[in-house]
Amino acid sequence: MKPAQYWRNKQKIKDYIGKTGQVIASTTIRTSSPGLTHITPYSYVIVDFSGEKKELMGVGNELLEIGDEVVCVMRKMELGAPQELIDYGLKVKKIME
Amino acid sequence: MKVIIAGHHITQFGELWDKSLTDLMEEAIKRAIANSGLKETDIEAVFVSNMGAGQNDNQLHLGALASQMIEGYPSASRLEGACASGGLAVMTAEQALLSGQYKTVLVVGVEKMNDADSSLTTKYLAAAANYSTEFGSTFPGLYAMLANAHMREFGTTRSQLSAVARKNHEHGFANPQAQYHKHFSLDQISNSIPVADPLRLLDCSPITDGAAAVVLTTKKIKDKNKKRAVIIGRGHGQDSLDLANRESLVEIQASTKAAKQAYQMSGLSAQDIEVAEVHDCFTIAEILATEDLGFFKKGDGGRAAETGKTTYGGEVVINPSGGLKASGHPVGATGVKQIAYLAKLLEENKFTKALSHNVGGSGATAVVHILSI
Amino acid sequence: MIINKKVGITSYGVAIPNQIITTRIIEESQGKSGMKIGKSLGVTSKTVPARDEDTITLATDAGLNALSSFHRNKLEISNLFIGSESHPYAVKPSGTVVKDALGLSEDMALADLQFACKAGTQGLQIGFNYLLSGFSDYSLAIGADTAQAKPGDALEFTAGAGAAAYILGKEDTIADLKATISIATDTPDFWRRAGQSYPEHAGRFSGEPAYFYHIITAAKKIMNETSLLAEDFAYCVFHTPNGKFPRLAAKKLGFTPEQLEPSLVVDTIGNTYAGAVSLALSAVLDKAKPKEKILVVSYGSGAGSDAFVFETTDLITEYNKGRKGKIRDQIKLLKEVDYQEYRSVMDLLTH
Repeated sequence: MKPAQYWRNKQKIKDYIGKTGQVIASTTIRTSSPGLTHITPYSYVIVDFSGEKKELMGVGNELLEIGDEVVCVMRKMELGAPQELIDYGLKVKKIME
Repeated sequence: MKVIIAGHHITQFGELWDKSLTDLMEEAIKRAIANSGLKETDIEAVFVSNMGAGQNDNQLHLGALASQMIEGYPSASRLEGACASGGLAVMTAEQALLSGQYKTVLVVGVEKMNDADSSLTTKYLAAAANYSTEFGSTFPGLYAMLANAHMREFGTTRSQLSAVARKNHEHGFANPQAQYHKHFSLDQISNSIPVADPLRLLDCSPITDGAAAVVLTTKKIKDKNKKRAVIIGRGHGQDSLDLANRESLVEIQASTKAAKQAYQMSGLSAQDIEVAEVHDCFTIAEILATEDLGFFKKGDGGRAAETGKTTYGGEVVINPSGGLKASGHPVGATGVKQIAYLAKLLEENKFTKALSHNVGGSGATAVVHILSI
Repeated sequence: MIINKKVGITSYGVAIPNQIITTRIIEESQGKSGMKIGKSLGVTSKTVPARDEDTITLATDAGLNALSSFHRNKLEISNLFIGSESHPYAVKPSGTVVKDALGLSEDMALADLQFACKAGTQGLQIGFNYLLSGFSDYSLAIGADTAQAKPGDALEFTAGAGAAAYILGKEDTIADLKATISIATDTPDFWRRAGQSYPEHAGRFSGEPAYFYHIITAAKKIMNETSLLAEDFAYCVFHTPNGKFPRLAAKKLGFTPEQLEPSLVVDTIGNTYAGAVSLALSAVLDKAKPKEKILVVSYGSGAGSDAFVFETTDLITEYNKGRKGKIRDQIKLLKEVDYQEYRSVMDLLTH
């Protein structure tokens, strides 16, 4: 992950972290691109945040379905080379009761 | 002014280890010109359609590359719109003809996909999506979400998806250039490796090398031996790049828009179309296409495929070439190949009214052409 | 030192992964089936991070949790000290990633701390001092770890993952700091050289001269200074390298099992290292009533101890009502994974 990209991306994290919404479309990705094979399978969903829709990955080890109430959290994203910056980004997980 | 398909050529589609990007391009160009009966120097401009040569071969400036293969160095450019590159290139070529700038042009679509590792191919195909807002998506993943939405809303079933793939593989036997000449049962398709739920490996078009070219002209061709197909309608629709901003997940509105423009221009309706090459990058994409193009009511596409309405003896023959599924999907070539294949069928008197439908990404770009003879 | 000004905890939040591996599976993988090692350690399972979690993401989750029950402006937090022995970068602070993810102010005194399992409580002590000096109105102290243990080693049974975040302030506190002391000695019970993947430990030496010496010494020091006896406390919290040591420490110091019990989440989540005492304290605060004294003593190998005396305020009952995400709520969601998954995750973590 390039430093400038990392630096621009983190703005998105703080704007959405903690926001809650509902899953309106989903799939489970079982064949992924390199960099994400370590967390495959994972859910890929469209979440409705009170009218604003965003596409996001589900957190590792949790599969999501349409109708799930979810919250935005920060997780590791693409697995890069060991000397690179760690790619952190937004994912969604089911809200705990 | 009518746009006449003067000549065409489709190369073999498949894993072509002994053919490079330039080999494929050259074959398509030379043979299309030969097929047209024209001379190389008649070609005034060439339009190249390709998605991945920059990534895979470190080769951009493809227009110049193609131009060098044609005597007289015709003016050249490259078009890219992910999988709709071919349709866009034909569209652009037509605009150049209709503007009067040129009288005869050539469009060549080419893609060399098999040299790269398949995981890298997955990555670059995902570039057809919105990289910053759709991170983590794969191309099958996006269509899988559309499939899930269609299944939830209309009860489209797993076996209806499989019916599309099975039918296209049967059709592929009639296409000598098809990547696959293989029969598949519904069971085999439904139980193939899961890729992105509910889509399986055999719901997905393959990784393919190939090229296709058409020679388009507005000049009258005096040829008693051969009738030539004419483009009588065209349309280009657009929608949001990312799925999250689509109004509907059960309709590719870009296709609907493009079809509307093409039908209007041609004076025809969906019922008049006898045969169509539609963009079946995934089985669900064909189901959506047959609905969005007006062949069937929204929601009925799955049932139509299952009950034989989309094959010979049905209501409209969808993907006689085997579609992207069986004939293969060299991304940049597909949109051009669809028109070339239909032109040939029309020349052979197999049909009189045909439609081609080419889509980019998860449905952001759609190009529709209507051909007649 | 006895604290005469009002400073305390205003809110807190915890985060553990939602999966565990049982000590029974670790026994099997080490070829020690039936040896009941887990039982003798007093640990039945330990938490395992998901493949996309690390110390930074757990710390952020805990921080988010703490902020959700913090009713002041988060921009008033002006220092953050995060303690861990598994900071993802060798050079680049975990704290800056966490604070920007949480949208905290640019006006921030910040550093990463390492002192084995007491790095989290050292952060608490520093945070309180920033308040006492008048530098900050609110402090954020986080203890977080995704601990590594060599396959086949004894520590493989207990090295777990978790985080706890505490927002400290001078008003509207739910528990006030009454006293705090620290001790430190060069005791070589546990260490990891740079470039090595796993720590070394000194076997039984980590018992008496290490854990017990420091815990008992620090506890006695603070109890003498405050003139408090074991029976004056409602609860006690001691570092949990396993389930056995804190029980022994409590007994030696004259505390009853009932005083210690609420803090013992170690049996299910394992030793969460720099998060351990902070998580254990959260389990106590979750059920504490007003005006109850809590003794907290951490231990970090290498070695040292931080000790604290807290007293809950009248606000704690209201604070706990209906609050989500308590440690025992998160424990209810735990799912088991197998040894292959556990190893795959461990191999992905760098520190």
